[in-house]
Amino acid sequence: MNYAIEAENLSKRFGDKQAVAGVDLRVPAGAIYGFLGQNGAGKTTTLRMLLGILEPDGGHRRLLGTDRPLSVAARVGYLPEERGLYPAMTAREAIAYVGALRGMSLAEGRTRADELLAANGLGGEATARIRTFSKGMAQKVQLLATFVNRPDLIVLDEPFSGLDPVNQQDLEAMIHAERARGATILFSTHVMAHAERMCDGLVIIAHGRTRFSGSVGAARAHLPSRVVLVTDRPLSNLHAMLPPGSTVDILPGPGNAYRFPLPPGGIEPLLACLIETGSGIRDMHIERPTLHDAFVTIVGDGALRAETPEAA
Amino acid sequence: MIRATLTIARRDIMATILSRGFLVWLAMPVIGLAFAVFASLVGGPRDAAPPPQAVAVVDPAGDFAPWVQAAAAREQTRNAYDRLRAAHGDTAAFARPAALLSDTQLDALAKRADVAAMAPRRAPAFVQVIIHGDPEEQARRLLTGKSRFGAALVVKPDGLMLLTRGKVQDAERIRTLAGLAWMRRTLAAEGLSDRMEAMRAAQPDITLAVLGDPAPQAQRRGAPILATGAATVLFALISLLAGALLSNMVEEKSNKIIEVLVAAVPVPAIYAGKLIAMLAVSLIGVTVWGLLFGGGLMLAAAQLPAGLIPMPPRGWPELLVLGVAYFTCAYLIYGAIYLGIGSLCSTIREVQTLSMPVTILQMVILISTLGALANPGGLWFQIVSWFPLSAPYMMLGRAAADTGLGIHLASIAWQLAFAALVIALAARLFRYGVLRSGSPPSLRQLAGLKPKAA
Repeated sequence: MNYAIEAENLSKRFGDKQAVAGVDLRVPAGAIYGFLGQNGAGKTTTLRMLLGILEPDGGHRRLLGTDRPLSVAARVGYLPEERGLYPAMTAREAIAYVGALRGMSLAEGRTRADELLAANGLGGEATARIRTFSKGMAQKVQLLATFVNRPDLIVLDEPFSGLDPVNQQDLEAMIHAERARGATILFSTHVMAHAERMCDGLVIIAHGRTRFSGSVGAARAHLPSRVVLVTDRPLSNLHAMLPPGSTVDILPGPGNAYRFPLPPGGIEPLLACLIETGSGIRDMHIERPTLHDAFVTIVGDGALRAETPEAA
Repeated sequence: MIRATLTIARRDIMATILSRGFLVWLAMPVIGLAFAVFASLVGGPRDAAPPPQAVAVVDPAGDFAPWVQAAAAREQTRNAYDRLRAAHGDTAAFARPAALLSDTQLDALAKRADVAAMAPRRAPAFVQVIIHGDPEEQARRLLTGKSRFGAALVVKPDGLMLLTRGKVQDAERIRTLAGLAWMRRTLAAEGLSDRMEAMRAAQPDITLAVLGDPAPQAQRRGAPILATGAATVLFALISLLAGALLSNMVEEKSNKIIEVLVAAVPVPAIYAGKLIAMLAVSLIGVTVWGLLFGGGLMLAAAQLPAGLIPMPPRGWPELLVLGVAYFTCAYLIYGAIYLGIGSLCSTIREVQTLSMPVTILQMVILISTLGALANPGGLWFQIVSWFPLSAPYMMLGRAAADTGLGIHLASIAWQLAFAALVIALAARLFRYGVLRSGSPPSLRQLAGLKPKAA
């Protein structure tokens, strides 16, 4: 498979703090990948190492086929976590300037800036200075600047942060459009809904190490599906109907509500048993685990493992 | 990388010259000049020395006043000649020391425009007054109340009496001139004037040959002035630029765009772009100042007598070329240091705190440089000449005073090599500073002797 990003056992230490302790990452070309982790997990440091902003202390990384990321800077777009533009510049000049840094001519950058601004509802603001923009508008201009050079690889650090729901939706559309053009996108986020909706694959890190890498479905499969059962009368023999060792939670509220893991053999044998014993089933459904649940579990496991002496 | 460097430089140049701060920066010499004029207007009359008061010559016989007036006029001419000689150096036209000039020579010199232009303006005039009553009483009357006379010289048959009102600055000079005039009148009365004049004119010309190290050549009177001026101007320019560089870097960090730059281009390119930008801005500033003040200065210089402004040993063009070279070296060295400091700061307060030691160091270096220029030769002179932080100022000062070109080429090469080292170290600091991650690198890490990873 052709990978846009490959990283193996990346590590970085700042003074006494081990910021990244062994991150493995592979992003196939043309995919949208989410990079998830708690605050301080090492996401930004990892992204900076991938892009050549920081040099890793250990491990290897390849970006678009080279281990010298700055040599392919003209094919990369990057939105850092800390947004910033020159306040005295106009929107057009700000976008063209980023294009010039990425190898475009200023004239070409200005033309492209006008296209991007017009396509994203900011055509009338091309000559307005950044200092006159709202925070959200300025952030949108910087996002557009990330796409100015039609990059093959786009790295976005917390791109949805600070955007209102409408602009978040616009950004999702922009990311999909860039992927449709052929670009590879890697973005970090805390918002699971975005990752769940958009990503072909995920990398989850905790305490500077990769804890999971794979599809959203595979991440959710980390947790078993659960059954929620509501009956007319209390079930004293529910444990006997379930595989040994199954935990049953009694849910609060009116009625007799229970939640337990989906038995490995499926729901049908249990359903037959409940009918046979006349349990008075009022509601029964299967809950699939969300990415949020999977993330909490994966990161929580990672946290526990990180605290053990072997993992430290 | 060159393209990225120029892109960054271009943006910084445009952003700087289109800012209000640049206009203020450009106006700084005007503000300084205006302040100096204001200060001189406000404080001038109090601080300035009172104009010299005239000397009344009370000469009942009337045969002494012309002698003392002639002596005063010749003394003025002698002083003017001495100043011109100091400016021109010990050339053939000014071979004879002022003290050995005869009266005839002085009378001839007095007719020359350049000598007249150099004549001291503050010499007291000897005014012969009409006699009314007792000479001594008249002299006392002349010195009471509001009078233009600060002293009165009473001529008696057997001697002179000098009366002064309070403290007279030139009492000693008046006594000397009066004594000389008395002697000359006596010589004339005895018919010895011509013989005396002939003896004076017969003084041999004494040629000067300096043996050994030509360094004392630099001690000619005009050269140290030029050297001090050149070093001070360079220091002032670098100090102004350093402030601009620091502000530029703080602005960059507060905009948080620096990470976009670091992700797109190599750090040395960013660094070089910013240095080039500020160099270009400074050259624009110097050009504007040159256009604003250069014409006026040249006009003023043209009004001065020839030789008053010292001529550099190898001429102005070569000194200007060396000036540009040393300015570039000093700018690169100090610019890199200040840019490194700026990258570590987030606020103006931090800038002030961190740049203070460097500013103090610069002041120490300037004082050391001026001290070394005033005392050429010796170990300290050599240390200041080759210590890289003082070398640009010192060597420019030396360029204004001595003639050796080889030493300047060697010094420029050494300074550029040192500047490259400082830029390399500062770029590492810059990389840490702009991203603000982790603890600062140690000196060994900065020097590349130890990896940052533990």
